[in-house]
Amino acid sequence: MSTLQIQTILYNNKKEDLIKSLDSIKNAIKVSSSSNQEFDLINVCYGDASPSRVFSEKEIQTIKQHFEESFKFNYTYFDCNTGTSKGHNLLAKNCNTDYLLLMNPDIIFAPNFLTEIIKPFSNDSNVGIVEGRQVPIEHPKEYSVETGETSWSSGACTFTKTDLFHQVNGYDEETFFMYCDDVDLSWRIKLLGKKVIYQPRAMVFHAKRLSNEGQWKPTSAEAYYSAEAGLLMAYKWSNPDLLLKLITHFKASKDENLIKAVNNFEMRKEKNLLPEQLDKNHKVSQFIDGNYSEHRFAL
Amino acid sequence: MKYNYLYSDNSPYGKAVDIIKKLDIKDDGVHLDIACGCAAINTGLKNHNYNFHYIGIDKDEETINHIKSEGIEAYSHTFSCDESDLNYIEKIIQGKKLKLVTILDFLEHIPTPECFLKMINKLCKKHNALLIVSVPNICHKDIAFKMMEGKFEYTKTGLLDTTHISLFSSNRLEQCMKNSGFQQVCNNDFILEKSDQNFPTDSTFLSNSTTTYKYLNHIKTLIDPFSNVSQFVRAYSPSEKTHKNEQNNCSSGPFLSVVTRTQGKRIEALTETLLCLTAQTNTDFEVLIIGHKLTNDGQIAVEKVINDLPNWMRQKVRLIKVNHGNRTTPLNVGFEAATGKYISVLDDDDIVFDNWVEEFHNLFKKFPGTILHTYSLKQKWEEIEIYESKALRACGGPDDSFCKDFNILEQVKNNFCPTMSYACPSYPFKKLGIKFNEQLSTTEDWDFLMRTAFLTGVSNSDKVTSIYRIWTNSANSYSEHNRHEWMKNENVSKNYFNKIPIVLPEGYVAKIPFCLNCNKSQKTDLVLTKLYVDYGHGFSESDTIFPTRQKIKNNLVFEGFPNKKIIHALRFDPSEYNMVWVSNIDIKIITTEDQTLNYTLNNIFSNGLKVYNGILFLKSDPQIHIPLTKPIKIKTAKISCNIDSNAPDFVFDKISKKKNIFFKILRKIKNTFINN
Repeated sequence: MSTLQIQTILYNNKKEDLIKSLDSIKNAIKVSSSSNQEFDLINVCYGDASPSRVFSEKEIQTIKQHFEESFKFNYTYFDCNTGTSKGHNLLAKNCNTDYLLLMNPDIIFAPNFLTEIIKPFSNDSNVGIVEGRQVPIEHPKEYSVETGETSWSSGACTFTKTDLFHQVNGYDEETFFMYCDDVDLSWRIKLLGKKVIYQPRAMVFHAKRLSNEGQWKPTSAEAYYSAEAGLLMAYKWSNPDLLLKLITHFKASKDENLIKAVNNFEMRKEKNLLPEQLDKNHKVSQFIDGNYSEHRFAL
Repeated sequence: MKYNYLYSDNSPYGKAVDIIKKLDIKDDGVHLDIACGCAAINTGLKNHNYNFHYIGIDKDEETINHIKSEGIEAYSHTFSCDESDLNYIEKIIQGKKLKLVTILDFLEHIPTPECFLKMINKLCKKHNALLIVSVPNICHKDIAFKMMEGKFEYTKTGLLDTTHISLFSSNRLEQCMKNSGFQQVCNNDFILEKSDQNFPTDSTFLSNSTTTYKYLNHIKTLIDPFSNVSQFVRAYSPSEKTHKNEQNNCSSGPFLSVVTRTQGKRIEALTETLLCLTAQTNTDFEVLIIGHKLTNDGQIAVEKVINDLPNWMRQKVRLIKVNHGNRTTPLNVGFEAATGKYISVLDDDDIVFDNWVEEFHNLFKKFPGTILHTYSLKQKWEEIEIYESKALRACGGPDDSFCKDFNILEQVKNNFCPTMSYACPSYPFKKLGIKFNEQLSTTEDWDFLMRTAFLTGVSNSDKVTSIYRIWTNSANSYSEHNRHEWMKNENVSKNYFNKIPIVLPEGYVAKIPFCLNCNKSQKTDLVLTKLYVDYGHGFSESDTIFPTRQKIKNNLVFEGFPNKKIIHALRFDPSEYNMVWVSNIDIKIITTEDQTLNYTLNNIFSNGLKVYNGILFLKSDPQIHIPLTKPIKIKTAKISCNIDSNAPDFVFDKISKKKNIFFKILRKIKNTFINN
């Protein structure tokens, strides 16, 4: 049996959504216990990066008591907007559990999630990360139906070994605020020779909505951070052609998010704040049609 | 005497006599006739050779004296609805066996019929006597339709007699009798298509040729099986159980009932469907999982999925097993068991977003009583095997072809609404008798949706709340039922839709394509055509063949003729509509002996006019008969032709004559619609 820390970063989330998520974790633990009992100790850690606390102290105590038979609940109020990368690093700093689950705060576990997510680790000692399948909108990235291998794992539901997370120094919080931190983490773990596996049987509900053309419409903040991360990924993962193309395109566009992103990149470059470049031989990194892997379909 | 009715077999009295005959009641006792009037029922019974010991009671002394003078035992008495009435009756029957009590056209004249009936119940119980009751039906369609005009016209006698105090519908009569301790044993209502309220005869609401009457009559007949009943005539016996007064309670269930059919074969998908429900932002719902023909293993698997749910969610779920019927049966079972105000079908392989219930509820708040419709995306999925277990994988992007408002004119031809994209109010199913047609093996949801929509209308939200999954490598309704079956089922529904009057909601005139700009003739794809086959019994809907999938436009191939059946004649219907021009006809019939019979315009027959190289069909239901010189066995039929749904001007020019005003008017009408 193993130990597990589940952690997530809050930002102005609704309390009822979080309680529902915690309840699903409790239920998944119960189902896991009644079958193979994969875990004998589970911590659930919230790092709150909101401008003001989501939960009061009293509420935290109530939550702790309510779930104490299932897991140990910890809450840290950061009192600043750390972003997901830094926030997760802070929560994982002193973690010594066997496994670490990095997830979005509103994730709802399927009852058999814990039983399924750990399976690939049992089958192959070279597995570094296992990603769960998001419902109702599955991520379109390709994975091998024979082995489950995929290019990277989404931070909405990333299950990894804690010591491996520490070995790569967690997320690159200096470079990535909230987007592509998961791609970057996945590829650095792959550089160690480990595999990233997609486990479609380990389901989590992740509340996303699509437009009535079937498209995902990002918010302005999401669009900005995505653009910023795109430039940094192209730089860090040694793709100068793509970097040049993006810079040229962003500068020529009238989209203020893109212009802001390229300005930020150039500022970092000027101040020598860009990260060390990796994977110059392109062993793990993939840049395909604006994505970080092959995609089964467009979304 | 106000009520000097004579007996007639074709009257409510005659219906009462029929009941006695049907139930084989022996006339070896007393027949107590309350509010006997002129003892018409006694006359009827005598005419039919019954010799009950008749005793009549009426409050009208003049009437009683009249019938006493004819030798009939009768008493004048005014009932007080208490024990004294019972004592009075016992006194007059003088210890004899009471066999039959009739209360014909009385209850509607008293303010508290239940009170009176409770007293009669004691009497009937003591003597084990049958009770026959007759009351007028306040819900007869003549009254209902006239009320639409604002009319409620009392008459001296009849359905709306000025002295009627208690008014009875079938429901009220049923409740009244139950609450008084009676159970119905026979129903022999007196039916009058045109009652005494059928006046004035030129009323738009009563003249049976008007559109208004036809529509109202369609609705009324659909939902009220007693719409033509003038007088309820029913027999009762004292029941063993007592009934509490039943109120007509509103549904006390949740907002939404979710009906999920499963055969226990798609457990991974069912787990995912229930996960989506667990994530709902609005949790005011219940889930009815209808396990259809579950094997033991399937049942165990389904029960495990339910038991593994979080506590709060598990309490919302019920498993109902159904071991009979086709795929439609579980829907009727589910809808019947549902307690929600609204019901939606979410099958075990489809998924919904977290705002699915919430969006229905938002629509309900604005448009209660209508079908609630949201948008659904279509997506291809496949089953895979990974880590030695089954898993599900999306293999196509979201397709927005179902993302549009419900349009009744489009929907009546094709279904654009997966079941989970809409929620139906429970009222039409529960109270109006709109059920799923279990004779349909496919398209059952579309058929039900349309029949409900014709009554309730549909309100729309343009939010996407669900994904309809198309399974590319596993069994589904498309793989399990061939195209012929699909189209046959579709036809059953369309034939029904074509026979009933339909009301279009406001705003639909602008949507009718015929009235919009269509300034050139429109070629119609041959997608709604079929071949009628005569096996020696004439042509019928049950003997039709639909074309196999077309690869070349306007070229139809009909296959699947039964190998051993001899065919006497063929008929090709190119369209359902009139004003159609069919040209360049080329038909090849290939026999089982590989002989090819060729047909063109010159050797076929039709109910149209041959013009140039085609046929103009002025009337609807165009037909082309393909004559066979002798009965043969057919392997394949190939039909190639062009069909214009709007016949071109040159065709009209050819057939119009200078002095023939008909064709000139016809052409003018055609051009008016095109130009506007």
